[in-house]
Amino acid sequence: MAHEIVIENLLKRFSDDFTLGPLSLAVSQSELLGVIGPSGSGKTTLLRLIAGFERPDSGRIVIGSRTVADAIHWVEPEDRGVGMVFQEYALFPHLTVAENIAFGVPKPVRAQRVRELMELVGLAGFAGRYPHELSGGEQQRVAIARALAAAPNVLLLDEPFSHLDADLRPKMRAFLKVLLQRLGCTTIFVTHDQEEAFELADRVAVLNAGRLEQIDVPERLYREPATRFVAEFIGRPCAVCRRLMRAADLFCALPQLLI
Amino acid sequence: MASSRTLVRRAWARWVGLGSIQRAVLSLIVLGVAWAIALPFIITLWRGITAGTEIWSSLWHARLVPLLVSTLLLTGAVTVGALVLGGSLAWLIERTDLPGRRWLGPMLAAPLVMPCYVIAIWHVSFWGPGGVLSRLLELFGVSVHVPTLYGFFGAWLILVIGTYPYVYMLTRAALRSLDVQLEEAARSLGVRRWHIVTRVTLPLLAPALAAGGLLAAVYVLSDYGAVATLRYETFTTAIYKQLAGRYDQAPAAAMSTVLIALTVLLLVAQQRLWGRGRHYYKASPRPLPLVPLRSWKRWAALGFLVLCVILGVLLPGGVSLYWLLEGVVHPQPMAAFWGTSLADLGSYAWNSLVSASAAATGALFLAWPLAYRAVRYNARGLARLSQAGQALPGVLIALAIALVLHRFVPFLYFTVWALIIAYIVRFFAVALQATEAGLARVPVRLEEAARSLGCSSVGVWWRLTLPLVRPSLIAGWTLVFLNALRELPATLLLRPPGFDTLPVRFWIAAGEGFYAQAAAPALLLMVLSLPLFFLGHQLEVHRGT
Amino acid sequence: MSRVFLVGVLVVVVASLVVAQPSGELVIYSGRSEPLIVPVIQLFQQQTGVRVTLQSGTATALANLILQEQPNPRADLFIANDAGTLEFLNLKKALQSYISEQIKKIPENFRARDGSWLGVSGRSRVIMYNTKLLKPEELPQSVFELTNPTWKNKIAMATTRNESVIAWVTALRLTKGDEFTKEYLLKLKANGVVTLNGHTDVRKAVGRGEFALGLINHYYYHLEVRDGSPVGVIYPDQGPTDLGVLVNAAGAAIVRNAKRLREAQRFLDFLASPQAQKLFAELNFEYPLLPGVPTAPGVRPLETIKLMPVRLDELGAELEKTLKLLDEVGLG
Repeated sequence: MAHEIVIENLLKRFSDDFTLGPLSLAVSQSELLGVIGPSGSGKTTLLRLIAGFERPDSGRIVIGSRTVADAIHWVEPEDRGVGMVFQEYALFPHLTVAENIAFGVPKPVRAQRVRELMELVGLAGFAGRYPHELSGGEQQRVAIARALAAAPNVLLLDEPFSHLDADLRPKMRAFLKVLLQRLGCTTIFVTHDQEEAFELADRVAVLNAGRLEQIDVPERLYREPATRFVAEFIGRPCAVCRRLMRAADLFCALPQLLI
Repeated sequence: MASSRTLVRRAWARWVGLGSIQRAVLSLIVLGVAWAIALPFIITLWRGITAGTEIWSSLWHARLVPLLVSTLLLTGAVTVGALVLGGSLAWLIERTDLPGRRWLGPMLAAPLVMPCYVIAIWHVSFWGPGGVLSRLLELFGVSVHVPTLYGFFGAWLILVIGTYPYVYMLTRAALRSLDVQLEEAARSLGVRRWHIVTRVTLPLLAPALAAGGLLAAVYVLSDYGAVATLRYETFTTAIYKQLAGRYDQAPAAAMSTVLIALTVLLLVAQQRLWGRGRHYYKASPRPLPLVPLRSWKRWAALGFLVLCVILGVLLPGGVSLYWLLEGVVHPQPMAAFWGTSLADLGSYAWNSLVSASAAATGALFLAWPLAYRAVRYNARGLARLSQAGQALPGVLIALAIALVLHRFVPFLYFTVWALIIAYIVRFFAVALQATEAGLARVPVRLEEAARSLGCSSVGVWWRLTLPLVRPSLIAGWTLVFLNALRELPATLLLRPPGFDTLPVRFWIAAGEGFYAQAAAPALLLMVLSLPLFFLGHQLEVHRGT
Repeated sequence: MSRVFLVGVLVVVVASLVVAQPSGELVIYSGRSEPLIVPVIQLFQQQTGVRVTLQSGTATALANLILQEQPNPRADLFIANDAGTLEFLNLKKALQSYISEQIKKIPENFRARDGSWLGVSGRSRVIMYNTKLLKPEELPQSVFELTNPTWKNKIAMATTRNESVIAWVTALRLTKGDEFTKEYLLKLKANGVVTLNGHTDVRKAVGRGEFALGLINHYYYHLEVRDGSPVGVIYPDQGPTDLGVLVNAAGAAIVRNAKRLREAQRFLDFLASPQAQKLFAELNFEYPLLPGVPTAPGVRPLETIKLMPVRLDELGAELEKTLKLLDEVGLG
């Protein structure tokens, strides 16, 4: 399978002694990569580097077949075709739901596309509402719809579930998984909750203090942790049992999510 | 069923048993204060409405249209100017890597230290033939015709200088509390920089800009000193001239009604917009990225900022010093009669300080019950009514108060108290808004939590509510104080004989062309405003509202 | 911290409570520009020991206040810059009469016959010009020449709210008729006459060369000369068939129901006394009205001027008609 995102020797230094990298990884087309790690491990920075909000000090980022960042090349975020869902969703407070979703869509296809996406995320009928009139789950769905509306090749999700109520999370998780599978969009999502990553992701990358500890499919990560840190970080008892329970939840929730 | 009945009973007990008397007393106090403070407004309005059809029709035929045109033209032009200037300065200070932002930031808000009429008079004495500039040029043997500043352009320039700080400070605060992720989100959606400005940044700043712009507009409508100095006629100067030069006050009352209508319209718009924008601002997770300014852009921007500081602060301040020195070096024969000795200046300063601080304190005390009722019981009607004073130019407030006091409370007529009452009425809205904003930040839950920890209601007020509201109270006090300190038109009419304040001394001396004698009160006024201004500025920026 | 704040607040409240209410013995409302009257009041205080509290403002606003405050006035004495305003108050029964030996020495045409007001100093209505802008042969010789296109946008005058201007217009009406006066003023307006906030503004503007001509009272010319400006003066309409200039009087009157009647009477006597008259002449270049007191050096004596045939006590009754006419003209 072709790689959609390739990162080579990426390095980013911050003034407060934090350094991300050097770090290399590759994400295949339509793959769903989860990035986990304790807070301050550089997860969000990695996303921001891919999105183009930060410039790497060295190394290379390739998206599709295009080098978007290295010593010579630099592609601005607006030209990368990378959609991002922010931690607190960053919905435009002065625009309605429909206007938020329409924000990055060219005029000719706007009305059509907004309608499709609102239906896709189950928000038909919310068009005229303002973000502050929505619940957390609804806001998240608007944020996802807005990012998808621009038809990105790559979707980045920064802690998509951290601002949701606990009882809403499994539902949204299931919803997202189904949605992403359907769209076939290459996705990287960041979380500090390994259960979330294990449940959703095809592969999971573990970051610690700016370094990539391991990247692999969840089962192998769990069975054969490459480092002591990985073992400790994910080695919580009965994670698999929980994962099974989540799967059951998902199974039950599926019919109503697919309406 | 049973449980719902207990709930009803409990609510009833809360309403009747708990604090019903307090509530009634509170309502009564609020009713009294609100109507008392709105009284000048009502009287003025009443006099205008009952002025008679003949006066209204002659106003309509002769003066209404030209006055409306000149007033609205100036108001519109100043508002646009203040928006553009204040907005762009705020952006340059908050969002670019311009050198010297640290100290230019507060300097750009510093025109607020000087009342607009002081800026106007010093500018007038600086430009024009025989002005300070041409005198200085003559020292170097250069003789050029320096243009004067009178008329529309001068009034526009000075009022823009005097009002852009409102826009500037509000926009800076808004820029600081703008969520950086919103702009990033827009970029990740493929929208280019300039479109982000027009589609995201500007709309998000709109409530702050609108609030600042409307403040500027309301200021222009009520300003007397600057406009009169610069020989431009608006409703306010026309009203003042009518009152000062004619025996028949009915036309002035009719003109006032029109002016009040204009102002009320703007104030209502302002509250709507500001209310809508509240949820636009919250703390940003990380500081906004600065836009690097390179080569000529950097110098052009820096030059622009420095020019603003020169016109708004250094020039008026420098001209004051020039005239002060001139008075010392070339004392005039009449100077002895001007009361410019240190003792005299001290007494003017003391009068100003006492009346302004008494007004600020009084306004806050009176604002408390209104704000409390408005915030806790969400009953805002009377609070809105009590803000009517800000729609009245000072002259009209003074006249209405003189009328009421002479007829009903003669022992207060032409005393310091009349002056203090006028200040309270005129600036009550400031005190009320500050107190309301402060109280709104103390959740009832917090008070309940304290009660559950065994704190008495007075104890809660003393240990919890007051400390939490205090920053807002200090800000409100400062703003009322500063406004009262520089108040001119009402003071001119209402001051008791022999009770001169710094603005009055400045105005009278400058009006007679005795600039050297006007300089000392002007400088003293600036010095008195300075520390409080910085306190207020600090609070404003830290609070981020 | 909160204690400190509250204590601070309390201190301020108490301080404002104990602010002494300034109350002199004699309350004077003065419509004259402050520097022109303060020296006289200071001399009075020195001589008599009577404390004076002065309230300055525009004469009409203060006159309004006096009318409003009847029958329980705060002011004991009213000083106005115009006889018309005083007579107007007299007609409204807001003044009370007082005649003494000293007051009788002032010529009768400069005071009310019933003693309700007293003219204190005289001023004539003249034209001043900037000597750098105009040569002597170019000067206008009559106020009626000012409507010529030659003077388009070159003339400044005080606002028509100013009492001296109002009195001058009343005098024109009385001598030339309403129609003529209105037409004349409309022509002035069409000729771009600029009205400024007061006479000080006019003299400064002419002195600086913003305007070639200014319509003023004669002493403003002398004040501007003293300030070192290049200005000259024209006494207009002095030919044998011409109208002459208006000489108005600034004056003073005791307010009806005044509480400090004796001090007020003393003050009026003082104003008519040689020392006070001398002050008006020397400090302010006005005409002293007490015979025997010389005018200041350089001031053209009253006897050499042709005067308008108008009696000062006629001005009051005509005041409201003049105001109406001025509002119709709309000169600003």
